[in-house]
Amino acid sequence: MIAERTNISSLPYRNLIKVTDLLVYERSYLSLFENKKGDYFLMYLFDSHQDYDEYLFWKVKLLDLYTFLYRRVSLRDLILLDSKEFVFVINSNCETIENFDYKESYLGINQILIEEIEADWLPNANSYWDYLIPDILISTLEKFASENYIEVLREKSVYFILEPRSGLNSTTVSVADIANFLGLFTRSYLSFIIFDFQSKFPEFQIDNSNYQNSIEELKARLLPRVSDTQYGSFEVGLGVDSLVPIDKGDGKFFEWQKNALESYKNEVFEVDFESMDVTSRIIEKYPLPVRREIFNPIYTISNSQRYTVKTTNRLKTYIDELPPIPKDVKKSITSSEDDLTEFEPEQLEFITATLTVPAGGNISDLNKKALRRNLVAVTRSDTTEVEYEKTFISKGKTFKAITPLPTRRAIKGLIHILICDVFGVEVDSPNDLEIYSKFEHELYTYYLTKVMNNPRSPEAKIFDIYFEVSD
Amino acid sequence: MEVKIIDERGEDVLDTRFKYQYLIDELELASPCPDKCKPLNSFVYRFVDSMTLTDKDFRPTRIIDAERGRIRRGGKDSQKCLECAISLFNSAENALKRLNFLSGKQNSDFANKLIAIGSITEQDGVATDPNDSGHLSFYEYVNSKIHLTFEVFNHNS
Repeated sequence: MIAERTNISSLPYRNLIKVTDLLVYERSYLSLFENKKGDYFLMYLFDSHQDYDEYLFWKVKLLDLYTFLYRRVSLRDLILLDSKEFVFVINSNCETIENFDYKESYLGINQILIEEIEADWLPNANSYWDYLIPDILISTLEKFASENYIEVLREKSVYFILEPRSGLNSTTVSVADIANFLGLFTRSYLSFIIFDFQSKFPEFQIDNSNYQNSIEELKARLLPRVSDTQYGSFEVGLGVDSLVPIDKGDGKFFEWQKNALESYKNEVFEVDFESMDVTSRIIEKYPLPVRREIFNPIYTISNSQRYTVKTTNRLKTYIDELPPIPKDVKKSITSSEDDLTEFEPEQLEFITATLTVPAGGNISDLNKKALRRNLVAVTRSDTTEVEYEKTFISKGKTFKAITPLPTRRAIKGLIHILICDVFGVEVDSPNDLEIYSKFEHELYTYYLTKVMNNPRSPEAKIFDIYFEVSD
Repeated sequence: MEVKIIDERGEDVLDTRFKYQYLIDELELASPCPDKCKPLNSFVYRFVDSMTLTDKDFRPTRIIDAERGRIRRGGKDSQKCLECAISLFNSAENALKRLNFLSGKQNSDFANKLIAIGSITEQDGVATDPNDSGHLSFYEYVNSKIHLTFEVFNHNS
């Protein structure tokens, strides 16, 4: 029973002209209209009787039409969007309605509230647009996208909702939790896109001599942008730029770029980790170090004791919760065959051990038994001072350490961090060995940008204290 | 009664009159019908009512609508012309996809329908190019018997 149906004599819109029929079988099922003000309207045939047909008719925002035509929501979702309060039910005994200014076009019009739409008036949940964008709309939609960057970015964004596991502070989460989530997510996402890029465009790797810089630039360009936020429980929309191509050339990467975040969501964040097929596919697809970089952060997020994460889209037409990834699944994804029998920590921390050694000796003089016997004290700490005094070669240049360089090491979760205050450098890595190669790359970059071409600069003078550089 | 046309050497000539030309004539359209159609050599798909196919399963929309008492006013000549054709799809997937966009009410009409696949050649008639949703309109020649080339292969439910 329709309680809120209101009969009206005509539509409250003037000069409606049909733009195109979007869905046509024997007849038009979905048609787009426009008025002189540039407003758009959709008309959907939902029932045919012997003497007349019934249509739903509603004003549609161009952003929502864009959303539908780019397959983000189904026709069913589009009809039910609660951004509009009501729709019109039009009865017509015409073959087609082309122009509403002719009253003969319809037998009657009723205005109904959105919640009064009956279930069997709607198409099914799979009514996603699966065809080309109609030619007549391409330029309109492209112009809309270029003039409405943030709206389109939101449209393509993945929305993450963080909620606390305990109800102590209502639905709020702490800034530390947000930082923790965003940091882990970004690390996983960047590892994924770099691997995905290299897999899909291997020729780029071979042909480009400036590979490392290109990868860094790629990371910078594809870093998720914050397109939307909501507080209370923390909600953030993250999107990747899909309007400015990463390559200025033939645009071959552009399609990949547009779908980078969506691919990550589908292949990493929203996979069914309890499915053996999925874990087998992950193990087959990614080498072990890449698996660790991509999936360890997701494991940590999913098992956070402080917050839960849900994913959705702008219109919240779906909401998926990231369930805790079982420990054994994580182990099978991120451990080598050799690792499987070893202890697999979830968190690492530093300890400082004080040992007695023979005068003039060092730790390598002690075997395991002696290590235990000579242990005097153990303290735990967040950071530890480490002097870097290794000679290394980078891009054909030898960097000979002449003075020990003070650095600090820290660890957060499983991520190693190395900080060098002297040169303002900080690097991190899930791999203890890799952190030094990253650090050396940063030292090389520092030398290249601040020392080599300006040997009298203060930076150069400080650099000269610690390293002697030769070809 | 089937009428054959032969040329001066006594060989059969393809009779390109349409089986449902009388429907087109009744409409007295101002624009050409069929329009922008060409011969088709392809497998095509159609919703049908039963496993045993007859000529009745391949009648134009206009006849089927008339049988149901569906009467409508107006309409463009191009639309009326399409109603004199047989509705086909270029793939089973596109035929099934159509069901996604029909309302629950409209879909109930398809609940017991089947999908048939058939091969159509240039001897059988002319068709519009498939639109984006894979739908095409086919105008059958007078002597063609396309229902004999179709077979039901999959229940749409």
